[in-house]
Amino acid sequence: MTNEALLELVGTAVAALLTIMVLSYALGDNAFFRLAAYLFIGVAAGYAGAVAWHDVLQPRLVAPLLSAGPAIIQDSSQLTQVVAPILLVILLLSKVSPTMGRLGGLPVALMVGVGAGVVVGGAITGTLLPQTVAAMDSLNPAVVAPQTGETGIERLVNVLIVLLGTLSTLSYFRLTGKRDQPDAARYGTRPLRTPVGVISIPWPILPFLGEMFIALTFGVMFAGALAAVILVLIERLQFLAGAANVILGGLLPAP
Amino acid sequence: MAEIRCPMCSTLNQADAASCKLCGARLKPTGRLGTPSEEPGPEMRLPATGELPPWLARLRKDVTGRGQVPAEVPPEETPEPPSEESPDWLGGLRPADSEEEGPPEGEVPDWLAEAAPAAPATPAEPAEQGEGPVPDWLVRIRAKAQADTPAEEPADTPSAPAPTVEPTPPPTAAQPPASPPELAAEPTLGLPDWLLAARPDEAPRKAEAETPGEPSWLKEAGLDSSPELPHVQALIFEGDAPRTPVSDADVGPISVEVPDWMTELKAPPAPPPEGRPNLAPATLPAWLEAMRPVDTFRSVVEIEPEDDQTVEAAGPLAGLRGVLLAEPVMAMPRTPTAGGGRLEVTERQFAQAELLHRLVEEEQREAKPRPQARPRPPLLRWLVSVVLFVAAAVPTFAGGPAFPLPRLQPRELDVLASIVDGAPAGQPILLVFDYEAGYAGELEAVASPLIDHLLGRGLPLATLSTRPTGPPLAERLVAQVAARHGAVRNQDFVHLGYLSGGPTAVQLFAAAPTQAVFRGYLGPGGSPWLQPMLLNVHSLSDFGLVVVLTTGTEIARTWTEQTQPWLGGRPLVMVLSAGAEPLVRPYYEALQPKVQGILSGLPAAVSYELRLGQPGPAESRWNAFGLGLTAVEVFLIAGLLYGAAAWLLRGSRR
Amino acid sequence: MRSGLHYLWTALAILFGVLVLSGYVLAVPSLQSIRSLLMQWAVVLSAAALLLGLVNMLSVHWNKVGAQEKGWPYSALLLLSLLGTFILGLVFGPDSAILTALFNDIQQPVEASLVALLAITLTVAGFRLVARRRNAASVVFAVSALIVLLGTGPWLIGGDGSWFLTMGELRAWWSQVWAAGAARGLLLGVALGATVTGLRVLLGSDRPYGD
Repeated sequence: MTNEALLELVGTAVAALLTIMVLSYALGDNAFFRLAAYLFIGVAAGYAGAVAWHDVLQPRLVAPLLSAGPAIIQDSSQLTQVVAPILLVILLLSKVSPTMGRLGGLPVALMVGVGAGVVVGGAITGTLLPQTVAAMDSLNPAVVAPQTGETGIERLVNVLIVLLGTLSTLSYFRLTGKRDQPDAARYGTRPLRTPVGVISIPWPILPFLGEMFIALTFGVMFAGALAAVILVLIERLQFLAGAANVILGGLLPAP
Repeated sequence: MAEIRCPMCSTLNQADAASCKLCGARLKPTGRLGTPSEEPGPEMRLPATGELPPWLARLRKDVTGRGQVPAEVPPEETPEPPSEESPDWLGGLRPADSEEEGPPEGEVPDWLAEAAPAAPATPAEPAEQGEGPVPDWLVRIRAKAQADTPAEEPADTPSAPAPTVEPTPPPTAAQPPASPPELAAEPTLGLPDWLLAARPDEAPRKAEAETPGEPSWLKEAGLDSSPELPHVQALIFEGDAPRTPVSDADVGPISVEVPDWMTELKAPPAPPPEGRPNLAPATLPAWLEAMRPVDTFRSVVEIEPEDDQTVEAAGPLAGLRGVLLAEPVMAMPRTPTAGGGRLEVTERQFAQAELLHRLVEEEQREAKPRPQARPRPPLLRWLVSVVLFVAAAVPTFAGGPAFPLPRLQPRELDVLASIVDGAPAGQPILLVFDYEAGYAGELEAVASPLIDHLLGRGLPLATLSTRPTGPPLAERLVAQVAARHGAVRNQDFVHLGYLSGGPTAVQLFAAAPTQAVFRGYLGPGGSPWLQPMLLNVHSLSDFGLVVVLTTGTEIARTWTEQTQPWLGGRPLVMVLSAGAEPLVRPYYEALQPKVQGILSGLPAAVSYELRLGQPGPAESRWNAFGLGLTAVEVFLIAGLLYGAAAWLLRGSRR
Repeated sequence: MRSGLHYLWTALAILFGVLVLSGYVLAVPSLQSIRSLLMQWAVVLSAAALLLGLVNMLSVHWNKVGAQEKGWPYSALLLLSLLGTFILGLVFGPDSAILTALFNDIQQPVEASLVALLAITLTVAGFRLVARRRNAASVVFAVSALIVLLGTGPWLIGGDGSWFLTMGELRAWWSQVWAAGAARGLLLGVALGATVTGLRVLLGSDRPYGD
């Protein structure tokens, strides 16, 4: 067996062992699960740090600085592309120190300000306006559903259902709240006289419908998530089967 | 030897002692205040004039017209031992030093000035500012004093003119006290009108014709030894002469005869008499109203009858009736009124009180150590685990049962296939691997046929990720599919590597890709933009198609929002986890969709593989997928039935 | 007491945000170049912030090991694996064989197994939801999930029958019409919330800059 094959075998064995250790949580919390979890966290954090250094900081900042040397100060484009970010990074790393941490406010302000601008601009131009226009466009009776090809009554019914779902969901949201009623209910009940007696109906009706539509959508997403994780479980069991095949095949002498 | 008790500190002193050995209070009265029985005691006698400070002597002289008050006690008068009940606060009052500075000449003390009945409510003006009207009572005092003591030498007071005293009205809040019956036949004796008006059994007396300087009541009750009115010991000292109690007939310059009622200390409170001058009842706040006892409520401040009122026994007001007590009411023992306080308690308050009582009792009880609850075995979780493991493993290891493959293809698949078929041949396809490593099992199965389709058309691929783990995941999937098509890394597919910065980085990449990514993954080294397939790429629109593989709606929304202005009409396709599809669908189902293609879920992937005619990982997991979903459906239906049965049973029990 | 720097950071954040936001509507070249420069700086700083997070994690677990708190051996293992992976990545690079092996043999299997455990957790949660909570929203949730599951996966029995096809159509109508309306409302709500949050930063109401 070559070194590479041996390394691959060892790697597969380790992966299979760790998979079993994690899946043992189905029986209950245990030390094996915690061992595997802490090991995973350490490796994941270390890998992310290595990628951040290798793919971003080193090629953008360190390599140009080392290659240009002190002459970098004379190059205006390098000043903005290299020197200024280096200073900002140093200021950001100063947040480690409690006494110098105040200076780290500048890079944080930059990240927060730029991020806020990007998010607000994207939300307005990418979602708010287009989705509002799409909701309005759907009411056009002459339009054929572009993706499904529906027309006529079938499309009209679908459009009305979509519109009702959109409006009722928005009415359920409340972006403001009273200070003394942080968890106030969105709707109450109201008695309604019917031939069979007095029944309580939710009022106002639109937030109640919104809650039902949201529950419906969350049910669809829950089903999708279930399907996804079932697939992952299947993949893990298939991996274990393959790993067993590899390990046993590797350990067993060739026929 | 007999001993006397100090009225102030109740210390026993020698009988012949003039002042207390402990507190220094005068033990023997200085002036005759009234009848022997009503006299407060020798300690309340007026001091001799020589013992008074000059200012006080001036006042006395002005008021009474007498200059001197003998210091010795008259022989027929023996100082009575002070009563046990006499207040001892008077003993705390130190005798005025004759050298102490009193009010300057002509200036009247404020308290004296405020006693003016008809004067405006301004403080007493200094004497230098001019003389004002003398109160009637003071006039009467003077007149009587002058009439009683004609033989007395004129006061040799250091101060000369009489200070002007402005008469002040008597307190309006208090009803004038009732006077004892002994005063029924007596003249006003200089008592203020308000005092005289309080007597219910006699008409208010008119003041006798008063001679200035001596009150009438003083005149009548002084030298004629009228025993009815007790003397009020005033804290006015004349010079340094020893203080000796004076007889009733020998009234000091400003000694006054105290009515009978002033000597009574323990008068029970009388019911409010009828016909008293009306006073505005006090308005109590609501919370205070609720607190008062029901039976003993007295809505108005009442003035007790004169006979029932306590006689002040000490101090400058000694001998007067109806004086506010110096001690707090709480300190004075008194018999409880009939009926007592009855508190109205509601049921809720009673219940709360009981609860509080129980809580306090429980606190005092020793808490037994609660036995640790035995952890219940998670039977449901074990059952679900076993069922799901068996459902996923049986088809994997045993191959069956076989589930029928999907016959109908979703509509989205046709759209997606047409997009891929319509991608320009020379332009690279951007694949964004933005899913967690944990979901690789699902996304690799779902995206595999798409990558198959792309590589099958010979389209170059460029992978990118906004996650640090994206590049190795991209390598895993693309390398696996590329092996089937003979594609070579860095020729047919390139890894652009990691793009840090979230939405900001996505927009930066969309606007200027070459300025966002500096180093690739598993590349030959240097900038990946130097690869031949990427030489003509300067913006996002230079890619033929953008495919985003993600499990989260946030990533999908970010790429949809941030890349639109720079796509330049290029299609954007989403390969999604089944759980994220509902929230991305609105971008897809619009007249002007932002997402032109969607591939989501294993059934769509299996259909895609069937369409391409290339079985892949999606189809290999179909049976296990079917059995696993069936197990989950069974559990959900069982839960619904259990819930419905429990609800029906609970309803029938009610 | 806040120092004056705090107000300076707030003003700068507002300035940066306004510059970036104005780039969406104004096509001025100089503005676009400044905007691009600011975004590049933000990209670099985000990578540095990731390293700062690593330092914080190091210090937390280092203190835990030093104080021998409960569970310190796990923290020691975390420290070893973190430092070992990071150093190896610095020396050999993330695309080296050893780091690829660490990713493929440790990180990816454990993460995938954790996600696989979700299958058990979600199934148990679904059962308990429908068995114990019986309000209208829970019933709608459960029925909706059941419709999608029945319409998504294959049937062991009658998988080729008309019932299966009808269920498939129902599932498509359910998820693409009924759920799509609420999904659009959710998207609009999320976008509104993101806009409000961003505007709070741009107006200086939120100041997460520290002192």
